[in-house]
Amino acid sequence: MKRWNQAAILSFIIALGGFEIAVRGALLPAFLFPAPSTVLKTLLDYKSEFTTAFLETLQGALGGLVLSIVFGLILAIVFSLSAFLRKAILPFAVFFQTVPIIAIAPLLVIYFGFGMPTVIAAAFIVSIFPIIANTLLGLEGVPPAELELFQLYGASASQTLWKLKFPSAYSSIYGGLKVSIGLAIIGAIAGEFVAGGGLGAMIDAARTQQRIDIVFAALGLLSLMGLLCIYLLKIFHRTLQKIRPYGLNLKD
Amino acid sequence: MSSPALLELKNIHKKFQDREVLKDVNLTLHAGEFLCLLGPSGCGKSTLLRLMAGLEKPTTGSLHWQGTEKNFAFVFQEPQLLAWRSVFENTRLPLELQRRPLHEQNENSREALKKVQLGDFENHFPHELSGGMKMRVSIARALSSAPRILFMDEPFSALDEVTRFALQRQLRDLCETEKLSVVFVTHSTYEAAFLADRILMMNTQGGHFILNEEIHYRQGRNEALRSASEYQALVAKVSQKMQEAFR
Repeated sequence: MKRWNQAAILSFIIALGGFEIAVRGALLPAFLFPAPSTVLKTLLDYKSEFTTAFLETLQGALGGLVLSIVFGLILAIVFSLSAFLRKAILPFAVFFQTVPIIAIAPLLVIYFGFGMPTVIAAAFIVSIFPIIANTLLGLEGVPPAELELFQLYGASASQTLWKLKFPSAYSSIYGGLKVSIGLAIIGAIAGEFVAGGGLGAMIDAARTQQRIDIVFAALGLLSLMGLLCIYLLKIFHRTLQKIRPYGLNLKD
Repeated sequence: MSSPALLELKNIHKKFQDREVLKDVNLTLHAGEFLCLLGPSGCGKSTLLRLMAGLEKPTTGSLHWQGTEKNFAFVFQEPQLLAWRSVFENTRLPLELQRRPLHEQNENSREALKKVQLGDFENHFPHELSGGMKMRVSIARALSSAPRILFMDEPFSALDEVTRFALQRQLRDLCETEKLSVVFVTHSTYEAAFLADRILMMNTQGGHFILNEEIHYRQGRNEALRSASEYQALVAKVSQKMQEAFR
């Protein structure tokens, strides 16, 4: 196991242990900060509810993320090919980035109704911008000499895009994906607050019942979801590297 | 030089904003000639090379190619290999972009790699190669499209001396066997004196030539030449001219 992995696990154990001691020793009020052992017990007691909610949120976040990847990549490619369209459309993407999702979420319920479509839409809106911005950065960051090489051999715009710009942008796209994964989960939760379902609705219901333990358990699961998605992305990256060294200079 | 002209540059001027980099340059490249453009950094030699390759447009003046086909390849200062493509795929790139038939792409690329002694490395990726090997792949890529002219912009300047000497020898041999014409930009008098059939030294300002030296050695262009008196004498002569001009 890598040294940084050991360090992360060790610091996590120390933090949890410290938290447990602090709550049991009455240094922290248990009704505001439940002990990790209490949270674990709650998780086990409501195992099936948490599992269902976890999978629902994951589905919503991944649905939004997939849409972001598809539309984000298409838009970035279009923007890289046309300065006019970039100027015309990019401000809308920036709007989605700057307006808080929690303010848009009620509108989404009106448009898409209660349930999964609203959750997916919220995750999509929040997570698309980093993919557009990073892909565009990568597509436009190709070294000039490499572009000249393609120019010298009479490459078409499509050849330059697919054989040079797109593979060259891999590192940037990967960076954008890492950010978007976290944002898609945030978007899905915000969507669930208003549209119901998943861990978002569970947190909202627990809040009204003062069940802090359920809120903490759901937060733990959300962190786990983020880590799991990032880990899967890393596995994808490492597998790809074994076949072809895209994004060679990327650091995990 | 009695060989026919492949490329002629007439009254070339090049300005970048207000700065005139090339002023009234006239130059003829002959078939089979190894021409070295020599001069200090910033004298306009790379600009001149890029003009010949069509990467820059002259402000005024004209380029005349023999025949209609501009059959050349360009080797950059850095190898410019695509990291995600294997040695073979990098070599094949020009043919792929020109949409040549697949069998031609494969045959020409394998042949080009053999010419630079990298036939056994076709499945390697650029990060697995040394600096010298990367440059040889870059030369193989240029050769794969079977050019008549090679434009080379200080291709060996970042390499260590042993690798540089070896590549100079290989390049010279390749040009003789393939009957290539070369325009080679360098700031090294030693390199120019070893490689060139003709050295053109550029002035710092305005880009006209202050030396046009044809080179005919009695012995072949091998390692022994570097310690031969005729080579040393030429290096001394060119260096002195450079010192006088750029003092």
